[in-house]
Amino acid sequence: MLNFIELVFYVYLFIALYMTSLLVFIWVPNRKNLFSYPFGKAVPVSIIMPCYNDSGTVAHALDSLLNLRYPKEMIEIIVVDDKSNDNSVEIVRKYVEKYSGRIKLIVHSKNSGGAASPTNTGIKAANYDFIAVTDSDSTPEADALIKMIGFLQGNEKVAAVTCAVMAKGADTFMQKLQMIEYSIISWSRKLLDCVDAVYVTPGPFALYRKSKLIEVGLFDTKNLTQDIEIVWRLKSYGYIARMCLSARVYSETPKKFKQWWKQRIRWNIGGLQCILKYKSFIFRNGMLGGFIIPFFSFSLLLGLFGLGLFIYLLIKRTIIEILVTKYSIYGGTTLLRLQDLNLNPTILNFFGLVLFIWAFIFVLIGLSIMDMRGRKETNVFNILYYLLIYLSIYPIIMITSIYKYVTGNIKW
Amino acid sequence: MSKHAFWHALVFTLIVFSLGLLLGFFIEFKQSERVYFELVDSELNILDEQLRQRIISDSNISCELAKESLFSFADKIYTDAVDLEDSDATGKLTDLTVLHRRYDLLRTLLLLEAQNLKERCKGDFHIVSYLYYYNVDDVEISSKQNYFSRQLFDLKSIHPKEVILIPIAIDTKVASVDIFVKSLGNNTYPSIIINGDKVISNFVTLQELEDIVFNVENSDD
Repeated sequence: MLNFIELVFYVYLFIALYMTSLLVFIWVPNRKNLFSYPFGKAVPVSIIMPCYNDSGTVAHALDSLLNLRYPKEMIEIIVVDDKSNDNSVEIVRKYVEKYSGRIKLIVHSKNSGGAASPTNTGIKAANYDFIAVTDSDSTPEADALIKMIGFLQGNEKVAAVTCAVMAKGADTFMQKLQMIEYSIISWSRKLLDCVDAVYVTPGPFALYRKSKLIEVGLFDTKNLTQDIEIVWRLKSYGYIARMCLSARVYSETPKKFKQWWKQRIRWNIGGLQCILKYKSFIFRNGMLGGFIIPFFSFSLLLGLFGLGLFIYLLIKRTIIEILVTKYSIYGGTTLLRLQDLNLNPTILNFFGLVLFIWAFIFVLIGLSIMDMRGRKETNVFNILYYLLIYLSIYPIIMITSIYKYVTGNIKW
Repeated sequence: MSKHAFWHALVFTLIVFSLGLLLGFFIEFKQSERVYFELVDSELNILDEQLRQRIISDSNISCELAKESLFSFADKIYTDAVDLEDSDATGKLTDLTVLHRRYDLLRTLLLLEAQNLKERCKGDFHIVSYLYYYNVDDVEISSKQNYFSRQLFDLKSIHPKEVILIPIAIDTKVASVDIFVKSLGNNTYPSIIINGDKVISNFVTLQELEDIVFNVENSDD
């Protein structure tokens, strides 16, 4: 008969099935319009690029901005260096000299510890009413800006637009997994756009109305994920964030586990900061309180509870096995019997298998829509690894983030 | 905007979940049906055994024949119990407690029959009953039970014709089992009872257990 732990598993299964079904039910009626975007008239845009120790990538990033299929006279690029201690400034200066008038450089006198402050500096120095924010290791596609601008022109309430953030290249196994992840996230984010639930305008490339940014107080310099926080703030003011799936930006992804871990800890701490900052909005009107905050909060709680339960069961099982093995060795009895290997599946195993197959199909559909299927980086083994191992690490990231947050270890 | 998707997804999930649960109930019901038939068969066997005992005692049929049928029945019950445990481990929607209780009753009857036969025929076999908890959360008790279970399995494997093994759960609320357990005057479980009088609650090696089982008989001689 069911015990408490099994009941908890059923609840988790139900929630997981619900969330994936929700995305499918959003996708089906909207599948023909996912890549459509409103026609936009080119208007002057200031592109802000915060930079910190990105000498390896800043030139390439600037090249991609200079190659945007957009009237050259309508773009100003403002690079804000956050006191790099490599030769990023020298590299940018060369571009400033070559493209004088189109590229400006502002250098902070001391490092601010995050991307928000240099971005705010750039916004304050910007001449135009529309602001694009990009990272110094990202390369938007040439038509990204012209595809995104229409979202800000059709509806005054739209204050921010994001695009599909894709992984740039995949040299290591870690990067291949992130390639799958970024594709699925981009697709899922567009689905959330269909229900006005875009919760982030990621740093690699996003577009804003300058007046709205100023109205809400610019980016939060204390938040480690200022790109999430700004959207929650805009939504709390009643503004809308949209997503343009046909516009793409390619972003560098961490090559090794340690860099990836550090990045994900930062994202989780930032998410935690956002939940705590906007906790009073939960269950209030609008998608911020009705979906985004509850979704983030319950994901956090479910992840923690699930991890705790898993650890409890693992420890209990391990202790029993150690004791039994110890007694069996002492007693000279059989260490393992065929009977001990109970291979009969339970209904929970059956449900778990169904959910896994459902998730696998979901990933395949997402990769197909994002044109990532059939690549060697997104082969079956990598997808299975992503679903079974990669995603399982997240609760541990969560708990580590909470620990760092609580102990005040909050840094970029 | 597709906000109806939230409700559609909820309805879909409820339907799929319910269908899954129904399928689960059906599969587990089929499984427990099989175990139930095994139980009915075993209950018939115990009645058969009891009648045989009466016939044997009335008409002087050889003890060897009686012992053979007793062992065969005990082994069958043991196998049935293992099957039931497997079904129990995999069953998450159906309650097999009633089947467990019936088996415990059956095994208690078997124990009494074995004791009668041993007394009447001065049987050269040993009755090893194992009293354990069916529901246990304590890690130490669970490990101990696991160990005892393996040890007794090994004992039975080494001495299949000399040891009759009868595991009985003591917490399934069967009145006769409760009385039997009280009559032993033992408070520590799990424990192994040898021939109704020697109680082992502490850890012993397999060799020590064998010595105790076979020496007890020798000391009676």
